[in-house]
Amino acid sequence: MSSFDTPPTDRQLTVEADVANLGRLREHVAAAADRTGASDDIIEQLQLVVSELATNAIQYNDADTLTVAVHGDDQSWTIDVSNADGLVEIGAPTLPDSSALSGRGLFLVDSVMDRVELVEVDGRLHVRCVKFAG
Amino acid sequence: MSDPTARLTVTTDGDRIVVAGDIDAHTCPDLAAALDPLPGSGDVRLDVADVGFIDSSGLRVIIGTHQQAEASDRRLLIEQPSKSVSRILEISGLTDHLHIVEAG
Repeated sequence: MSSFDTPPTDRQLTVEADVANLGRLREHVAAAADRTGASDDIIEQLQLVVSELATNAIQYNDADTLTVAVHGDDQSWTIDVSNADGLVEIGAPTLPDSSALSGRGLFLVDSVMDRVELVEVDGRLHVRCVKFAG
Repeated sequence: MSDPTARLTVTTDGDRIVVAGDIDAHTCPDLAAALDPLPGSGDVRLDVADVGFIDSSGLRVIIGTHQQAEASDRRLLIEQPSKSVSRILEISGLTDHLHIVEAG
């Protein structure tokens, strides 16, 4: 885990922690990434990441709101998702057995992103994911 | 009248279920409801050509339905998977474990 003094606050969206807002969060991430010139593949991967992490945050935390911040240029994209207080560490998620009904979310995130880590922002844990172009 | 805010539509026609839109933790209960109990008496055809987004919540429904079908000597055929569906199945290593029917 690392701390981060200046969190990426541009292109930030805070919503009620409700799965009904997942689509809105994906649209927010897609629009922010599109403005930086991200490819359709990158946008699709970022949408998957925010959907998985937001679902985890909603299901395993008691926070009333959820904040997603997107920061990037045409070479890399960073997504911060609050709150990850229920996560002790990200580690290297393993692929569950094909018959398992759950447990794939973090594996998918780790598979499509280049860096996934826990960071502390304003005293709370966030998941920070970075994707590099190319 | 259709709900203009709906992100997922599920249409059942006999043993064929056509899904269009986004499948996530919010919308997957609608898909699960259409698949339980399994429609028809033979193979169940799940047309996912127009699924624009799917995450692990949607995978959970598909895997559970696949297992339910296998338990009754039936098959869940995942027809014409969209790019989003194909990608998540591939990343998850499920391509060889499910019955996938590509577009002809």
